Amino acid sequence: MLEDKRLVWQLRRGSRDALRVIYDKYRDDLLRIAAGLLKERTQAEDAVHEAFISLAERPRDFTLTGTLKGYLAVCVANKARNINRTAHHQRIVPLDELALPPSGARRPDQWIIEDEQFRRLCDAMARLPYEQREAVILHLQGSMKFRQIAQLQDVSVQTVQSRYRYGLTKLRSLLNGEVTK
Amino acid sequence: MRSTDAIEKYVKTTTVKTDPQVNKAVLDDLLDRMDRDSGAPCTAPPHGIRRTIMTGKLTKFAAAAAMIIATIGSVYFLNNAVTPAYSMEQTIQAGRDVRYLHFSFYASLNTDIADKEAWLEYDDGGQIKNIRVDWYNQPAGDMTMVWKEGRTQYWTKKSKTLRFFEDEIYTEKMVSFARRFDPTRMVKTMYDLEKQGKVKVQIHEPSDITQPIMLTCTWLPNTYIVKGTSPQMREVVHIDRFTKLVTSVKVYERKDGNYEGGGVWKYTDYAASFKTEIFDLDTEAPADVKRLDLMCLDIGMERTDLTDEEIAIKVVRSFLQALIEKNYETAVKIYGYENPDDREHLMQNLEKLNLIRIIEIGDPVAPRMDSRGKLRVPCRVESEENGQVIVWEIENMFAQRVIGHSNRWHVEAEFIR
Repeated sequence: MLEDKRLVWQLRRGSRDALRVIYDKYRDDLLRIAAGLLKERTQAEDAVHEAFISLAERPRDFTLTGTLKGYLAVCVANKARNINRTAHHQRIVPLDELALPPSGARRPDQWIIEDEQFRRLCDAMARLPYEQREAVILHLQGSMKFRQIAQLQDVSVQTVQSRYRYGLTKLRSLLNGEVTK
Repeated sequence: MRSTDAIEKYVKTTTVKTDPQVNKAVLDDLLDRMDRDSGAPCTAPPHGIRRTIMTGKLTKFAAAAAMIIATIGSVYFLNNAVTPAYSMEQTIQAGRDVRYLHFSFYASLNTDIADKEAWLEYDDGGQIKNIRVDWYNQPAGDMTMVWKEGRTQYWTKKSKTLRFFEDEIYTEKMVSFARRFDPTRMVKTMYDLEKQGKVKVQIHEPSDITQPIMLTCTWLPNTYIVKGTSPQMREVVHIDRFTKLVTSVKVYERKDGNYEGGGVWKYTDYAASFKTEIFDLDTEAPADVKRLDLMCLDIGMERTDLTDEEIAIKVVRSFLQALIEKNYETAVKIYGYENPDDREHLMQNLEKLNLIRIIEIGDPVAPRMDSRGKLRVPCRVESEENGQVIVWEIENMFAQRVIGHSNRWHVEAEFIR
């Protein structure tokens, strides 16, 4: 926590090293969060990249009220929501897909080097309703408090706790046999 | 059943590692952005050097000689330059003030017959204001789509139908289309991706100034489109020598070791403004074209907080149940229609189905080659035909979103016994 405050202080003074340390410190955690919230690796790449862009652009204006990891996790979660909304929409439109090459190229195969356990967890996560998935991931992987998640989801703390419980219960049944006591 | 604690631990401890090469590319981009923001201070020339040189006779003469040599050298160098003078930034800069874009797509490099034609208009702030796309020689006939202020007009000429709707999905798609084929943005994307090491761009500036500058951008397999697979692709962008604007983009696909032409976009009329009428199909379409406002329709079922799969099963089950109960008002509402004049005829057809019982509804699956996000829901039912009960597997039962009503789903089905 203190180290993060020092890093943010240095970042605000334009320290490239601070940005490098922050990126190295949190990139894997954020990617894990993004991959759990999104269906595709390329999307996870986008979400993580954009979370860090919010630090890299205008670092002097950056102010941190909570934890740095929490801030970045919220950035990833917000981006994931936008991507999911857009992705859902894009799937439905019949507007001449052949005429619509993409706006950017990605390298999906090279972003996440995933192991089998991670893949199984992502598969199971994908079967949870989005709000439950978000509550579970942000609490367990993003180390966010239910209160912070409630603010993000714009619901009461009790609702987030319920979503978390339901999510875990469903995960438990989906992963039964995969998890050792 | 494992304990909740074990699940929590499992989720917490599952780790993932990123690719070092990609990490480096992302970090470089972040540092680059940071540098751009910080605005690196100008390095002013050291004070006093010019004054020192120009006060001494000998140094003044030497400086003059050096300048002459430098000038002659520069002229010689410029005349024999090997390094291209052109840079992609010039095209990005030249395209900043463009407000009107008109382009056509040809499916082959050897044809003069356009497959589609598009007009884009930007506002003074550079935001997309109006879009029109015409498709020619399509299996379903010629089509025109206009997007204006969030409202879409979709004219299918063969069926003489003009639909109006406000759909955020279509908006997203139309805007994506416009952005994708905005040549300035295209070059900017190439420029950015090349800096990240994701594509390779080669600049060819022929010594013959009547020939255009060419950018050749090579995309790795599975990178040309955001989703799905794609072969190795190549785009060759032609740049006008004088305006630095894009005049055409040729698209090639790598097959059996060779690049084969897949089509060409030709850009024209950069400076010409459009008549506002081209973005108003209601005025343009003849009187015998049926106008349908899809926003007025009350069809489908509310999605509530269900997942795609859950709502797909729900609409199909509700539809079949309504047919079994001979509640055709409900059935036709869930089935959906675009033209209210078709409603009665549709109900009569549904009445002929004579469903008795649902035997089974399977898990929804996304059909292959579908871009509409619909889900196929396999189901088996019993129906009565000529006094006999038969088991009927309905293969083509789909559920999908209602256009213009993002929170509603309806069924689409073909009933072939």
